[in-house]
Amino acid sequence: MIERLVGELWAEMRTASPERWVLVAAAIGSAIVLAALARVDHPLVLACVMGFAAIAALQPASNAGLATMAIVLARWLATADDATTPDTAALAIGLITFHLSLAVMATVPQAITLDPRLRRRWLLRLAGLAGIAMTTWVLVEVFTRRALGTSTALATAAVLAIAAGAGAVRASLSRSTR
Amino acid sequence: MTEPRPVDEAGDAAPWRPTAAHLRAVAVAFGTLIVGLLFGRPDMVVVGVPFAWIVLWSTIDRPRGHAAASARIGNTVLREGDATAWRCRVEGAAGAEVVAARTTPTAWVEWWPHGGADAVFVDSTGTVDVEMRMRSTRWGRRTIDPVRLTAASSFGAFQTLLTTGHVGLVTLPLPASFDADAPMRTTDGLVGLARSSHAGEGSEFSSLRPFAIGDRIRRINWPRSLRSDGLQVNATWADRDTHVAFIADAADDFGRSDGIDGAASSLDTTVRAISAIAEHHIARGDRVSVRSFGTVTQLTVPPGTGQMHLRRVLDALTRLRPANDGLTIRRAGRRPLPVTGAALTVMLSPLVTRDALDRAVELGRHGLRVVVIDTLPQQVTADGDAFTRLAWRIRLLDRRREIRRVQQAGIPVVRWRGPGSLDQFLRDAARRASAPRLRT
Repeated sequence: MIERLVGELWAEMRTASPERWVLVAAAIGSAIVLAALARVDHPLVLACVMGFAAIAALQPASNAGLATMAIVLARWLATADDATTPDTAALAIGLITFHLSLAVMATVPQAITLDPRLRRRWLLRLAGLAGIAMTTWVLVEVFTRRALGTSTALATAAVLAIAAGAGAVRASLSRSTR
Repeated sequence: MTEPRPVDEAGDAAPWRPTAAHLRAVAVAFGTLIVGLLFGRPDMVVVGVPFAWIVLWSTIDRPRGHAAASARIGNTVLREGDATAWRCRVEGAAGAEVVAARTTPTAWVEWWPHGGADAVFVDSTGTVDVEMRMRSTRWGRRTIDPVRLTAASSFGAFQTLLTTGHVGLVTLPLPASFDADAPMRTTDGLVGLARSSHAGEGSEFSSLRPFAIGDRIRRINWPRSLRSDGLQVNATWADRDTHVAFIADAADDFGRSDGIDGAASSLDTTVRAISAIAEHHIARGDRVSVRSFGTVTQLTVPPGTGQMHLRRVLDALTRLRPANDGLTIRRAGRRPLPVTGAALTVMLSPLVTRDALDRAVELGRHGLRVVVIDTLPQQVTADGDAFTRLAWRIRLLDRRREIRRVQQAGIPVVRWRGPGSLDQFLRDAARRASAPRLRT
């Protein structure tokens, strides 16, 4: 049965477009970076992370991606000493890359090359979300440096307010175009 | 191409459902923000805020309408190797970002582009046309499985699945190239281009003879008449048609079939050879009939001529399905012989079982002119299993002996080689027919 499954999987992957392989590489690569950032050094945990990441890359519509992210985040919480290092922003960007790679793969068939408009849109999203992560990290850094008492709550509130504003603008724009 | 016909009127409007990507974004956003706020971990906020933004954006952008799809196919009747367009219009997908189509692989059907997958960007109107091309590479009747269409919203957060209906596709065999230079004699029909062995009204010159009462004036050969004592007329051979009866042995299909572009199985060769010979004879005005044995349902096309009849023959050939069952073949063996005395009977068989040869001998004993075309592919013995190869070798030795016996009984057995396959047989038959006979 496993042999048949691997055979089917291999047959499917042979039809994949080069762009699909780039997305698979992005997902696996970001999982490796995430594992390094979260200091996943235990072989079993590392095997779990990479195993789930591989399954997620091959079957992006599954929940294996969520399992990968959950393990990485749990490991990060357990090992991170300083919460405001640049590694935090790198972790966020890594998670975003991993998530978006899987989302694109789940949306379009593996054999096709993305429409240029679609490709541009997803790249803009990646850049925008990376920007949001960086902005949030800067805000958190500022609040922490100035030793504000409730820095986490303040940062969350500030960023969510910005996000809500952006969302409202987005909603009004989409209503006007329909 | 015919007018496109709807094959599925609007696939049921399916609800928009959250995807694994949306679940992932929600879980990470809420999990990290709650942990960050409860345990005072600002790093979790850095991670959670972009995901919260994804959740917010995709929820605001969530499609509200009910998408529906209607698919059309350009032509449901094709020739082998021909392609047709498959078009699908998806409506009510406002808010969706992309519509992806995935086909289910069907044997001997090729899809473009990307092997039967496509993804089309949806604009603000929410209506999008997906177009793919399909090519059928082997004769037969097959059902194209539904095409699955998935419309996805921004960030791939919500999806709806639409499926089209089953499509029946008829692929007519593409006749192999065939031609016969040898004449055919002893015909009993009234029309056609085949020269009869009897003198009569026709176009082919036979001899000169003295004028007789009833001869047409235009038949008089004036130059010859001037040089002789009386009027001389051109005698001609009568133009008659021929009834060519095909008997297809479709009890089993031997060899690999790669469609029109690759290796041909025994049944492929049978069907394409019948198409080719039938097309050749119908173009000459002859009558053609087809029978089969060893099939799930016995194929019977009565004698007829003309292009409509050729279309009927080709259509009937697409129904050939091997029974692979000895009982069916034995039952078919008890049916009466289908051909008339004056017909040229062409039996096509891989000759792996003795059934076809027995039938051919039986027909020959009834005084019919029978030729057997051997359709067994050359590569049939190529098998990975050594025992199977050995079994084939033993069977082929037996088969060679059986064929020799049948040939000794006066039934010619020829391999299908396309043009000229039947020439030698037809020449021999014509020679025998024109030989002097002793009448008692």
